[in-house]
Amino acid sequence: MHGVQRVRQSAEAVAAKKLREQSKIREYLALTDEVLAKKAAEDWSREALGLTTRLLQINPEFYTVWNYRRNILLRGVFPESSPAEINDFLTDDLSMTTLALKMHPKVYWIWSHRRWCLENVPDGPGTDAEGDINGWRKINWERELFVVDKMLNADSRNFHAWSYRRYVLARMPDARSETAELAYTTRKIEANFSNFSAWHQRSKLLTSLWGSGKLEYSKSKEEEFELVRNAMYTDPNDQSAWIYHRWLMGAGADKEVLEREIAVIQELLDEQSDSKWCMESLVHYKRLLLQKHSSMIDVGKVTNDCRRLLRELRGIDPARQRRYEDIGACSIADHTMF
Amino acid sequence: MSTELLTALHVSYIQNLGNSTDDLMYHLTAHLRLNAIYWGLTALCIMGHPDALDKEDVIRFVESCWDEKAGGFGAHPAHDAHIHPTLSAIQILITYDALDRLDVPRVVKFILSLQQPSGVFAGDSFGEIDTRFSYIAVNALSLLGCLDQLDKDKTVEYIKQCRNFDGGFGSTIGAESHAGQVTVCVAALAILDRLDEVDTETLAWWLAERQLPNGGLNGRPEKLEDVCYSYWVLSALSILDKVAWIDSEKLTSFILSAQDTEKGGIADRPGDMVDVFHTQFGIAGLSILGYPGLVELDPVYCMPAPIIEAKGLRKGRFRTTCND
Amino acid sequence: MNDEEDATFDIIVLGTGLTESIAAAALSKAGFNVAHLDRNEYYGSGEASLSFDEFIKWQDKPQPFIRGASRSGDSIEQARAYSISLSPSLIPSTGPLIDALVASGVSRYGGFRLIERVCVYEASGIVKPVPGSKEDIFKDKDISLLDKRRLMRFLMFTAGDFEDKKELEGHADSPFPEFLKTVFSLNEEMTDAITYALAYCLSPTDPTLPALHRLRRYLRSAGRYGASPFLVGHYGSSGEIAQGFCRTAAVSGAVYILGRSVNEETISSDHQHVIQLNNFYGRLTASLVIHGSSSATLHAAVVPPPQALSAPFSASSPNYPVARGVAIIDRPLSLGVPATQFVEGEEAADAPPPPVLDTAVVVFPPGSLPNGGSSTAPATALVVGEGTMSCPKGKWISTPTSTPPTPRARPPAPDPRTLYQPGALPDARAVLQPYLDAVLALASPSHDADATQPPTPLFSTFYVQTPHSYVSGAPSTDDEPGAREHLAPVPLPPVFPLPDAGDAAAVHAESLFWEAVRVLMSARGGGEGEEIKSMWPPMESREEEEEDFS
Repeated sequence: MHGVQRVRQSAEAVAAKKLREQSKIREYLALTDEVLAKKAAEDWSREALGLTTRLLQINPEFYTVWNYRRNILLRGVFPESSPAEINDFLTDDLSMTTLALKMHPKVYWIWSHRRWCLENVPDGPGTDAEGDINGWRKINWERELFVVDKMLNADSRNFHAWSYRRYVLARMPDARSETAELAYTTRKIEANFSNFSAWHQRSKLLTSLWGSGKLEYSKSKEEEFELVRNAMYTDPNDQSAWIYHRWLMGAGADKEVLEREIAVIQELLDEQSDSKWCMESLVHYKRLLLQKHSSMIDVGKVTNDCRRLLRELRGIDPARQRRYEDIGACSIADHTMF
Repeated sequence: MSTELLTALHVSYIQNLGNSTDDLMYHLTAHLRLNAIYWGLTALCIMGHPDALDKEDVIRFVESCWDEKAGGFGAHPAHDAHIHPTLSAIQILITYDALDRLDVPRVVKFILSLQQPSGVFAGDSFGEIDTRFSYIAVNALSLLGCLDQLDKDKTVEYIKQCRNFDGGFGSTIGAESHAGQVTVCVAALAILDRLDEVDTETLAWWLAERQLPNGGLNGRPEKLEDVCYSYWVLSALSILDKVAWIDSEKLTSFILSAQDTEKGGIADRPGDMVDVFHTQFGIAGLSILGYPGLVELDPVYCMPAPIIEAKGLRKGRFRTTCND
Repeated sequence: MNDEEDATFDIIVLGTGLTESIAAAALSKAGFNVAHLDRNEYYGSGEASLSFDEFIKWQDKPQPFIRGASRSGDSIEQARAYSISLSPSLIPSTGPLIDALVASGVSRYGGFRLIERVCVYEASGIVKPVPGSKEDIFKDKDISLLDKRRLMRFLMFTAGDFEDKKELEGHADSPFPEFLKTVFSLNEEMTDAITYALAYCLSPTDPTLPALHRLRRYLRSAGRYGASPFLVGHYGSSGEIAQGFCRTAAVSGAVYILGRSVNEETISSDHQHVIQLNNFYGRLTASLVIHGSSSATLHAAVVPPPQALSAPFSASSPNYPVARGVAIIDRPLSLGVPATQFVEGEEAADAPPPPVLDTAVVVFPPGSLPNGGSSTAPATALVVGEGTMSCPKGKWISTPTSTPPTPRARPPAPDPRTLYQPGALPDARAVLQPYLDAVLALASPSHDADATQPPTPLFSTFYVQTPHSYVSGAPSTDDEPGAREHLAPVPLPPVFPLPDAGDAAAVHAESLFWEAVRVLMSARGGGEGEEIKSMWPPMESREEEEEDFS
């Protein structure tokens, strides 16, 4: 089990725990049998709905019961409810799953039930002509973003929460701008720049913002270099920054940027002579120089730089020495050797 | 802490899993029962004890999980059909050479019905999508010899869109690279003979950097190590023929250090509670690392290699070649 | 207890300062019968938290170690809503005091608040946030890339096991600022920030090794309850905490008598102490008396505080007078730090409005105030607002503190028992007024017409606190049976690095506790009763241990 400590217990303690558990097991199995029997009998009543609530509170991973719950709502409850009542039911389910998420932040089924709830919010409270047909939807989706913020405050790397966040942002009726989301990733990164999830989100947002012209490419990109450079210098051991830097550099088409960044990293290496990530990145970027700009550089010198760095890397990062050997064994410039 | 694999203990740990009915956790994990049997059985096969469970009992249990209405398997009798336990059922039946007990056309129909217009697969009729489910579909159809019925291009197209700049893959388009998702996507592409969609050098770099100083592997940058990534990272490295890019010895000791030396089983990390999931993925990892005495594991299907070999599904390894 | 009757105890503790209160709680929890007395009507002795009126009364009464008080007035609105601390200090989030608070269960009674901002005042008149963490350094726009690397390297060095590192070789006794400049190539500005606002050194000549030990304790405190390593307690912090320990002692059966001083102490024929209080008829008898710092005039066996370099109190802690100030202001400080560094797009619309600053520390390195400030001593100003329950809404208490150099500022062989010879006492107002003015100039602009003017404090006072004079007896040894029956903790010096006073009291209390246990057990003839293994018995319920701090 993830992160649950093994404790050595005496035989008596184990026996006592088992005894205590027996009544819980009987209760749980009786409830399970009752729910599954009602399901088999296609019982779509509100009473059955209440039973699924109880069971899911005990075991939110019981996917069959989530399915049954949705079928009760779709087949038994919604057909006899007004749109306002349907909206209330879905809002209740969202609240119920918010509580469940606090206890079980990584259960797929809970996240998945929320999506279903959101997607089934009815039109209203108004109609097209009168009031806002998207009113309920707006309220519910808006609240989702708040919930997901809370979840990411509790665990800023929860990939369920990040996926869900992207889903909500993409589908909410009052779309949030990508620049606002970019600012959100800035806050997340400032709170902890080891948070690669936030850097990843940033790479997707910027790709879109640059593509659409909403952010000026060259200026914005320079700001990104500035941001990530601060992370690299603050903690050269943190992978997140180096991986993001690699994204910024891309295929290394811009020789000037490539050389500038090589100089920045070299300066950091001069200050921190044991930095594996400095050396590793220098090898990568110098190889890009060789691959893309060989006619404009001193190929022999750059190749030798790479070989020297690879030799050093084998010493300071022995776990991955075969990788450094493999790169060194082939033509340094050859990107397609693998 | 032990420096060798405690095979006998793990075998008895797995054998006894079914006898834990006085344990509440046993009942709370009923929704994973069929998957758990597949994990346990595969671990037993890798350890050379394929007959440690009562074969007929297991097959009858698999049959009892059949969801007649949907045409797939639930994880437990009376549970809804889902693509994941359906794959587990197929894997168990193939391991026991009992595919004749399966209504293959109905299962294939169930699986194919879950493909979405985008090419990705849903897990069940309620439509949660994930590249895990794409892999499960590709794997299952391949094991059943029905891959020709799949729209392969569409399937590959979606996986392609989940590829990130770091070479890895996410659960859906736009999602962060994650070692588990990397494995399912790479393995699906391997089965579909489309490894040309993988940026091998970048991905193998990213995977190799999952190893932490204590030898364990994490699933994403700047996360903690976990025994299950021994499998997720290793199988992908193995498919890319880059296992040598990490330190096998340190990883082996890390996995062994997570064993429960009293009752058997392997945990996510040393000192934690064991479970059958981590037991299987720890042993699977050791097999890929060539731990002595273990049966070879096929990294694409996560099943004993001899079984995959016998079905003619073994994928050839890549060779590293230099162009100069 | 009824004041007509005589009563017998194992221990009588005189004085309710933090050290005595922690010891009394532990002794009472360990099963000893404790009587805890204080001549004052309030708990806390020299560390008390007083309401405004109590504070004025305290100042008007002659106090043994307080000199030269001056103040702006005698009254304020909502006087009862203030808790003014006689010993303003910070609490590191990990350390002896927090451990004692949690292990004793006292943390359940008390509320705490994180220090929101620590800023360092620069000679240019601007304040800068002190980069004390990786995140702070990453965000800071004013530090160059190379300096970020150097600062981080220093912080990583300090947070780790530096004892045997080559960087420290030959530098253990060097002045700390010099060590930072020569070994870690840190510039002047960062050296100041680290020396005074991260390590809370009291002078530019503080030696390196104790400063590193101290800073490491603070660095390891960050992140436990929030980004800041420091907490401040509700209701004036130290006094409220002392009272919390007294309450725990009372729950375990200790008897409390406040507002009565000792009239007479005699020794009975069976070697028991018999204490007669003023205005109290019953006599109190006990086999051991602990004389707290405020009443330590009797010949007693002293219990010195621990001297280890890693302890919050070490031999390097100086024993010289401290100038203290208390000012009540009605505007928050605006230590303007932008919420995010990389402003872009809709940042402004999206970001929450800046909250009103409730708790802050402003640190003035030597020479940072060109007009009037000291060029050799630093000063600090702790500011607490209504969030600490120490003052009413819309009010803040600022407590500037400095240790001005005096003729005997640094005795050649620092000894906490050294008598301070009153000579040229500093003028507290003259020392601190420039710092208070500088703090006031940092207040947020008001909405009134004279927005540009710094606020005038509603109340201010300044005074000097001198070290305790102390007549010591021989250390307690087994050869001197008479001395066993009197214990007195050596009074702690009045000035500490801001976050150390509480931790020092906690470790001192632990020494006192074990010494008292030793004496009491040997008085009982050993063997009898259960052996005491830990200062705090395990708590029955572990719940809420971590939840009490916010």
